[in-house]
Amino acid sequence: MTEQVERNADGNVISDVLEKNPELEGIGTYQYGWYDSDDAGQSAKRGLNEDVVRDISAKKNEPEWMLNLRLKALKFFDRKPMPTWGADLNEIDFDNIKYFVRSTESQAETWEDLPEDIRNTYEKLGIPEAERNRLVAGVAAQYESEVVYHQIREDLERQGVIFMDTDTALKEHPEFFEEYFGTVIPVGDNKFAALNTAVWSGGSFVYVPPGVHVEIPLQAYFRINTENMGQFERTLIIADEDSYVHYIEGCTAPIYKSDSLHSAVVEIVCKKNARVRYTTIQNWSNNVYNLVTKRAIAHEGATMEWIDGNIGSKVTQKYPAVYMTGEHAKGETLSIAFAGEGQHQDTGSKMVHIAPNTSSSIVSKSVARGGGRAAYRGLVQVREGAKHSKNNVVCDALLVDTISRSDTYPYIDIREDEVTLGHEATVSRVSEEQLFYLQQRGLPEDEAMAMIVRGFVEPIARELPMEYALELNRLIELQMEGSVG
Amino acid sequence: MSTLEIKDLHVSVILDDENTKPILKGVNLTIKSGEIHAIMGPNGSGKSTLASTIAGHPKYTVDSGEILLDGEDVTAMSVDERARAGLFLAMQYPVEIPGVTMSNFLRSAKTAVSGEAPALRTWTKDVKGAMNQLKIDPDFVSRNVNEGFSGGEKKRHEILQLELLQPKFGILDETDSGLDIDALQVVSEGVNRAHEANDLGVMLITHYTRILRYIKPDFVHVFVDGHVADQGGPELAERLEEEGYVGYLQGAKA
Amino acid sequence: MTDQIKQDQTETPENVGGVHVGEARPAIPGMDQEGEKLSPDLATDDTIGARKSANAGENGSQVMHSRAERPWSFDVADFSVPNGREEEWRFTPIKKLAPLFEDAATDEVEGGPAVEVSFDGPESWLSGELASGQAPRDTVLRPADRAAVVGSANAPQATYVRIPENAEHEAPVAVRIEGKSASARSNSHVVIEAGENSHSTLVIEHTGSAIHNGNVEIIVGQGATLTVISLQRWQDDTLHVGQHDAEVGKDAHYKHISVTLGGDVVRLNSNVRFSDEGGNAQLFGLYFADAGQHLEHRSFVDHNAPRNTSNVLYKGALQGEKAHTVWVGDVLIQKAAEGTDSYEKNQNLVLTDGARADSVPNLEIETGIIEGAGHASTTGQLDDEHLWYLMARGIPEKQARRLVVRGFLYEIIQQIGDADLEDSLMEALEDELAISNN
Repeated sequence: MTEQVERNADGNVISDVLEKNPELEGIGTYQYGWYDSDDAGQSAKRGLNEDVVRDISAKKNEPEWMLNLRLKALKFFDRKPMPTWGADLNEIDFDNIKYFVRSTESQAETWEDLPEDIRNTYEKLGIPEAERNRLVAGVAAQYESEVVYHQIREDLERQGVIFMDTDTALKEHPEFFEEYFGTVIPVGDNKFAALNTAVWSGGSFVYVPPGVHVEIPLQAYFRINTENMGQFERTLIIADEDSYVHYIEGCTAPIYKSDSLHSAVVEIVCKKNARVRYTTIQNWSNNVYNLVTKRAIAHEGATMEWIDGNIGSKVTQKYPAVYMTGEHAKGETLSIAFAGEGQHQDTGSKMVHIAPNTSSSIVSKSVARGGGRAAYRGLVQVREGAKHSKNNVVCDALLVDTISRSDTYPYIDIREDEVTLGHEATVSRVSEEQLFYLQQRGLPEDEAMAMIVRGFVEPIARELPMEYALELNRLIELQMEGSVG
Repeated sequence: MSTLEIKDLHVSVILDDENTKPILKGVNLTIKSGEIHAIMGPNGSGKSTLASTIAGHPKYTVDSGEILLDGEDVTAMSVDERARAGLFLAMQYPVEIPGVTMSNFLRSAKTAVSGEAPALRTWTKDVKGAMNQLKIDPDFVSRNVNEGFSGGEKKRHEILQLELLQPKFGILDETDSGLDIDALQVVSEGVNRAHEANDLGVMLITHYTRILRYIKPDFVHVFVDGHVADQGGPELAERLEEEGYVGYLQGAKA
Repeated sequence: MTDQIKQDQTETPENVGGVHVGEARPAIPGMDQEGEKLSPDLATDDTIGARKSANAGENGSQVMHSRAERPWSFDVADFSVPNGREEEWRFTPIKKLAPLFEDAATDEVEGGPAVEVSFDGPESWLSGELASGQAPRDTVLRPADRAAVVGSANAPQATYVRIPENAEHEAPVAVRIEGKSASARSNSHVVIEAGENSHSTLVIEHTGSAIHNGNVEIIVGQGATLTVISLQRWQDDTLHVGQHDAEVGKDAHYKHISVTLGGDVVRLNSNVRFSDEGGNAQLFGLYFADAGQHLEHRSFVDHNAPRNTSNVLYKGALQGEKAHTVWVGDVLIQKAAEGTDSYEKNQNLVLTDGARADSVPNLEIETGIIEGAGHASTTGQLDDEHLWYLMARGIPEKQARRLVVRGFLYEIIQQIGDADLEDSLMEALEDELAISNN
């Protein structure tokens, strides 16, 4: 038995965390629901038109070609219809959204330099502590529209690793943007990618030079504070040949009466034999529409891994994709969705096999309770010429009560004969015998239920760094509270 | 000193939404701390129903009668409340729970039963020691609960929990079934250890007398058609070994 | 590409300050500035859709959150002619099917109707014809798309086969639908009612050439066992759409087997729901698409009542350039359907390059109190393990392939349970397989 396994799976460590952070208790099922005074947000303009886009670009002092792409994207956004599938998005009022909120004048390099309210927010979220404890190799913290703090370990910087906010990177390393920005996710890819391209602000830029392995994860933390705020961060990761990097993002927002919109675009380029792992633990509050486009291109021999945990938000529609354009490229997605009361998680993954001998797998686990709706939606496409491609999809859903629903929509499109493809899905409910067994050993019903649910998602939780596995477990615990009786 | 008292217990099994079927028809039985009671009887006589009902399995409905633990009726308690009150059921068919490791499960159960988390150092030592005595490979702590265990391995793990959770009463539902002679001996030793260490009261449900060579009962009850048809000391078990249940079954039909 | 975008491109230079901002920018093959075109051969330019849907809330732009919300109606006006962007039409070559969306009566060919419908079975079972709305017609079939509604509206008389209560009939009886011309439109409607505790097999055999719109509705009475086999053995110039709706009674057994070998474009919907408890529905399908053929099968099992079971298995083989098969299997387990046990599976065998198989098994579950639900889909070549095993027993590769391919297809054929019909279909499959030398 390893200590790691013990601590990972342990409920007691979690209660220790609560003991040390008593302020987390009593906040209710969503613990990040406090909000700071939002002086910046109050004064921000609502609504979207060409002037807003020009204004954002001008404030950022951008090159003309970027403004050009933004304006083009705005036109696509105006024209593209709302998706006619998935969750109900009719309540999004694009005219009521604040598209750009600047919370500080300059980016801080130490936590102390941040305005006190913002610093407190991140202290409460435990980000500086993770950095002090060297659990991460670099940190970026985005508050509203812009990154307010960023830091990277010096040794990585010396090796040529670039990790900074996207706005600054566009100024300091324009050559990467000229070459890669908008190449993986075209400007008009879909309505929300077009919206992001038109008004994007913040996000992370990562470049890992050839052969460099970043052993400890880079971390970004996204926080929305302003009501009706739209957060449109843009992330671009380029892993050069034979490199490795693990990027982690976390997201929270306050609970307001009306809804906010988070619509990010993440583009990843995995060059020959590179490997990128991208981990998301999304825990937006229950009034955030989370409509995100994430896509990676995997060149020859490259591996792209998405680990996608969706716990929060009102609606999430997100299908991280891997386009395997080089031979022997690999794509992997591990996805967990947890839909509680009033939530609709419409998540999954897209694997597109373009080159021969490519392989991909999707493992999806979803849990629905309290009338929530969890759907797996995926696409596996094998293009003509992608001979000897392999794909396997497994999606399992767990229902813990009678009022929730679980859906599976796997699209499979094969245009090549020499391929191997499998899809399997199961939907099960928590068995009476399992509950009885655990209760007979003394566990109260809700704890027993939470234990079964944690066990169900364990195959994915084990892929997370320890503190995230703990976080996930605790979120499940909170979600399961009051789920029985 | 504790007492588990079953008084005129009538129980039905829920077949589906509309139908139930009476199984227990007036069971009377009293077990005190430190006593070992063997409940013997033919298949289908209701022995396992009695065990599951004491633990509170939702499939069974108590129609009348009482199950008193130190004078308090447990039939209104939930399953976990009964467990925390000190009733342990070693199950005939322990279920698999995917993704939940034994180590996590054991510590969670211990914490729930004793009301506080066990000290990490002594607990790890206790678990290792108990596993060693039950000849369980230490690797099993990182495996998922009962997942892929053989029949014998599942039974050993039931007794492991009996030893670690230290209940007042252990109800062993055909723990001997499906065990070879070596495993039977190991499991029996575990029960005897728990008995001696914690003054455990034991209700040993079995079809065969074989296990009684290793676990010596103070009392033997013959269970037929949902009630106790006969009782006595260890000598009753010896008689059953020679004569079987035939006489009681004829009696029941007549 | 629309004029609007072309115009934009003239306004916007492709190159700004040395950076490509135009069509050359997307790096992934098959993408332009609007992202991927998943079905380049189908009309899916949603830019056009945006302009339309902005003007009016017509059904093309309607948001569908569940299969349960799909509308149905007997009024042709409720369904506009599909444009290919609708979820349920997006795989279908709608331009080819255009004549079948027209609200048009059956044409005449040489003085008679363009299809001849005949019945081959006990005469007493043929219970005359049913006008529109005359029960049991229109009690089960719910036209759910444009094709079905115009078929329903333009078949003034439905053939009504009524299997008497307690009837036991070993040999299959047949409804034959023979098309007379590849350029004449026809509509048909067949109503099959299996009386309580009856036991029978009915074959609907489609042959000849046609532009055919055929609806079938099936009532399976309490305790009845009914097998309906729909054979599409059309000439390769035929267009055929159809909707087969069944309602399964208490403790009844219903089996629907669709075998599609011929036709240019065939699109069949096989739907089933339940009127009580204890029913069992099995939907099977076998299709074999050659170069240029589009064979589309959609199934929908609506678990609308508690304690019923269902099983769906469709198997397909494809060979030749632009052979296209589509299978979309919807299973909906409604809130009321506690105790449901359901499974669906689709397997496709792609025998040559250039063919395309789409497979979409959708599962929607609204209650946690179910026995089980699952689905699976596999698409690929022959199983190498099977080949290896046979070859290890001394069977040459070519022969081993033949054996495995036949084994794959035979799983459906053997569900038919009638030796003559099975032989005849195996013979037809042999002819198909000979084309790709399998």
